[in-house]
Amino acid sequence: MSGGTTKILDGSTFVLSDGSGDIDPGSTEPVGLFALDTRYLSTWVLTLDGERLHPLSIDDQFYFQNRFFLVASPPSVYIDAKLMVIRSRSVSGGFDEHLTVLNHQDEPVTVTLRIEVAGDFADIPDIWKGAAKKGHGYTRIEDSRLVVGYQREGYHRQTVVTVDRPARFDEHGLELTAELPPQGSWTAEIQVQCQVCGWGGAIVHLGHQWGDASRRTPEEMRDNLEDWTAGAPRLRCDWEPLARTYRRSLADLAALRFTPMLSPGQSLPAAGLPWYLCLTGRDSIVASLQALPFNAQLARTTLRILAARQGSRCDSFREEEPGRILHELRYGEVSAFEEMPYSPYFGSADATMLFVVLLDEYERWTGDGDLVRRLEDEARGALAWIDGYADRAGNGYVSYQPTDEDVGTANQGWKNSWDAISYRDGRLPGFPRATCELQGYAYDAKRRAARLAREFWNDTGLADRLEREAAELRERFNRDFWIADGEYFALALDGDGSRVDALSSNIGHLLWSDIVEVDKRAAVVRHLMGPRLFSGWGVRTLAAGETRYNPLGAHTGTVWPSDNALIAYGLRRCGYKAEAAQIAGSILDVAEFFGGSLPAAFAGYDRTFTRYPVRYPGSGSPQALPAATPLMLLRTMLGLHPHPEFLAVEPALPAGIGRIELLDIPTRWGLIDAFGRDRSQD
Amino acid sequence: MATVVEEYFDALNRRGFQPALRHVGGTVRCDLVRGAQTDHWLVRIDRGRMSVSREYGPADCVIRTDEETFGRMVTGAVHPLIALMRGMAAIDGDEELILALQRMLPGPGDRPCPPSAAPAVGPAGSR
Repeated sequence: MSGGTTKILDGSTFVLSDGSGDIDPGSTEPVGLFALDTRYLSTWVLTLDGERLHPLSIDDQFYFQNRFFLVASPPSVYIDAKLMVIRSRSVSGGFDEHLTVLNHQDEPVTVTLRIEVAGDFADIPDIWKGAAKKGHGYTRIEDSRLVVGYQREGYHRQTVVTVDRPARFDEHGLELTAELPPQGSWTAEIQVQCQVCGWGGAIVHLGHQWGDASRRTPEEMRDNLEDWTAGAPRLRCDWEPLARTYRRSLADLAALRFTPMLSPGQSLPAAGLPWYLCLTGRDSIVASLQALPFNAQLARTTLRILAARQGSRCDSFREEEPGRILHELRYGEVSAFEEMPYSPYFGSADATMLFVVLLDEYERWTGDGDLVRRLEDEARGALAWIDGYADRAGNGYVSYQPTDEDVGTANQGWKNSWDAISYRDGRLPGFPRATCELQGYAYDAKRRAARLAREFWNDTGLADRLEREAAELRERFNRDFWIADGEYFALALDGDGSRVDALSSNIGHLLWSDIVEVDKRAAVVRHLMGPRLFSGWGVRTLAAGETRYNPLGAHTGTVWPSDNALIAYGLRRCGYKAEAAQIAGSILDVAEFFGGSLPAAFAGYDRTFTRYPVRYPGSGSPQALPAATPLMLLRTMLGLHPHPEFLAVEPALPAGIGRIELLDIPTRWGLIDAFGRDRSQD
Repeated sequence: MATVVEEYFDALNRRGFQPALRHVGGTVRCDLVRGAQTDHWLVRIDRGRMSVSREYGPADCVIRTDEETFGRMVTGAVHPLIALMRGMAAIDGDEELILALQRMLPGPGDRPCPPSAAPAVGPAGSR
C-alpha cells in the first residue's frame, strides 16, 4: 500500500514487495517471489478483518530478512492504533513469514487474518511482456497445505504454502483466526517453498552454497554473514563514508552469492537485482576480479564454474563455440523450451579473454598453482577461441556478430545496449564489430597466459608464441585504431574496416590492459580527464558532444562506477597516480550520496550542474559490479600490486582522505597490512 | 542391430583415454528406462581413462531418464540442461561429473565446427 519496493534475496531467490510486505499484482513496479528466474508468487496480500495494513517502520538491516511493523488504519496523528502486526520474512528456498499480532487493549479481541495467494510462474525475460502462458496453472488444497503450480509438458514448478497452526485454505489463499487476550499476542509461522518437479515427479533441490536451503534459519544466515565479513580485511580510515561504503560492499557481495544448478556448494557473484540473479560470465568475472585482494574464493569458484560450462561445440542458437566462456545461464520456461537461448547463451565477446586474465590474477594473489594446472585445457581452449572463432573478420582482431539480432545481443562487450557503439555522427557500424577494449583484453590475456604457460604448463614454446603475438597485436592495434587528428583510439573497427570514431570511456580500459604505447598515453589520459569525458563524478561512457550523447543513455553518456574502477586502475598501472586517485575519490563521493551503495550507473550531467548524482533509471540494487567497485578503488588508492616475492603498497590518496589502513589482506604471503597516508599533509 | 544408445556406449568404451577428462575421476551410472525394464550402464572415468560396462552398482552420480531421451541427448538433439529443466531426466550425486561428460556430447549439427581451432572463416562481409 505504500510506495517503493522492498527486497530480500539469497542466491537466485528473492522477494520484491511493497512497504507493507504485500506482493500486490496491481503494483506499478514488478513484485513477486522469484527463484530460478521464475515468479513463484505473483500475489501475496495480507488483510486483517478485510483491511489492508500500513507500515510504521520497515527493518531491512539484513539482506535476507525484512520486518514490517504494520497497523490496520492509515497512520494518523488523530487515531491511536490498538493492534499491531509484525510481519517478519526471511528468504530460505522460498520464504518464511512469521506473523505476530499484538493487542494493546484491555479487552480480548478476535481477528481474521487472510492472505491472498496466486502464482503466475512468469519467466523473468518475459516479465514485462505479460505473455500468455502455454501450459496450465493449478491450485490444489492438500491436507494442510496449499499448492499453486504450473505445468507445461515435463516443465513443472510449484509453490507450497504451509502454516504451523490450523488454517482454512481455499482456491485463492488462506485464513487464520487470531484470538487475543487483553494486552496479549498471537503468532503464526507460514512457510512458502519454491519447488522444481523433475523427472518422475521428484523434487529437485534449488542450488545453494551451504546448508539445506529449506531449513536455514535467519540466525544461521546472520552467522554466515558475520563469518563472511570477518574473513575480509578490516578497513580503518579517517573518512567515515568510506568505511560505510566498504561494509555495504561486503554485505552486497554476500547477498549476491549464487550457486548454479549442478555445482552444489560453490558460489559466485550473480550479476544483480532485479533481473540478473543468475550466472553471467562477464559480471561474475569482473566482480570477482575487483574483489580479489579481499576475497579470493569468489574468483576461484567463478573460474571453476565457468570452466566447467565452457563451450565445447558449435551451436548457432546459443552462439556456443569451442573454448568460449558463457554469457548468461537461466532456468526459466522460455529457456527450457528454447524460445530464448539462455541455456546457456554464449553471446559475449569479452568473457573468454577476461577468464584468462582472472586466472592469472588469481594465481598472483593466492599462489594457487594447482588451479592453474587444473584449468590448463580450458585456458588453452579460450586462447584458441580468441585466435580462431573470435576473429570473425579475418583481420586478426576479436570481433562479434550475433546469429540473430532479434534473439541475441547485438553488442557483445560490456556496453551491450543496441546503440552503445556508434560513429561521432551517430551512425551504427556494420558487423562484425571489433570494439577497442576487446583487443586490449586479448593482448592482456596473451601476456598473462604466457606467464602461466612458462611457470605452470611447462610449455615455453607456447609462452614465446603468445608473447610474440601480443607484441605484434599491440603494434597493429596502436596503428589501426589510432585516430591521429583527435589523438585517441577509435571505439571500434566497423565490419568494413573503418574506424568508428566516437570518443568513449572504452579507451580507459586500454590503459588497464596496458596495450597503449607509451607515447600515446598522455593524450589518452588528457581525454579521460577532460571535460567531454570526465563529469566531475566520473568518466562518461560516451563523450559529451558526440551525436548519440545522452546523459541518461545506458551506454551513451551515463557514468558506470565499475567502468571507472577499471579506468582508475589503468591510470594507476600507467603511472597516473593523481588522476587515478581523483576518479576513485569522486566515485566514492557518489557512494556517500547513496548511503554507501553505489548504483550500477548514474547520469552523465556535470557535477557542477546537478551537485547531486542523478540515478540512472534502470539501475537496480544490489548488483555485483557496483558492489565490488569500492574494493578495486581501495586497491588502486593503496597501490596494491602482487609481485612474485612480495605485495607492493604505494598509496596515493584523493583529496579529502587523509588515512586508509587495510588490515589482514589475505595473500599468498599470509595476512598483510597496508597503510596509506595523504602525503600533502606531510 | 545396435541401438543409438548401445553405439554411444560402445564408442565411449573404445575411446579409452580422454585428455580432456584427465583431471576427472568417478563413476556415472545411467539408468535408462525402456518400456517396463531399466537398462543400467556404468561409466568409469579414471583420470581420463574411460570404460563402460552393463552393470548395476554403486556410482558417484546417477542419471535417470528414458532410452529415447538419452539417445537424443547423445546425438545432440536435446541439450542435457534442457532435459533437466523440463523433467525429462534426473540426476543424483556428484553432479559435476555430468558437466564433464556433457562436454563430450555433439552439438545440434546445424553448424559443424571446423576440424581444428584454426581461424574460422569470417561470415559474409569479412575482408
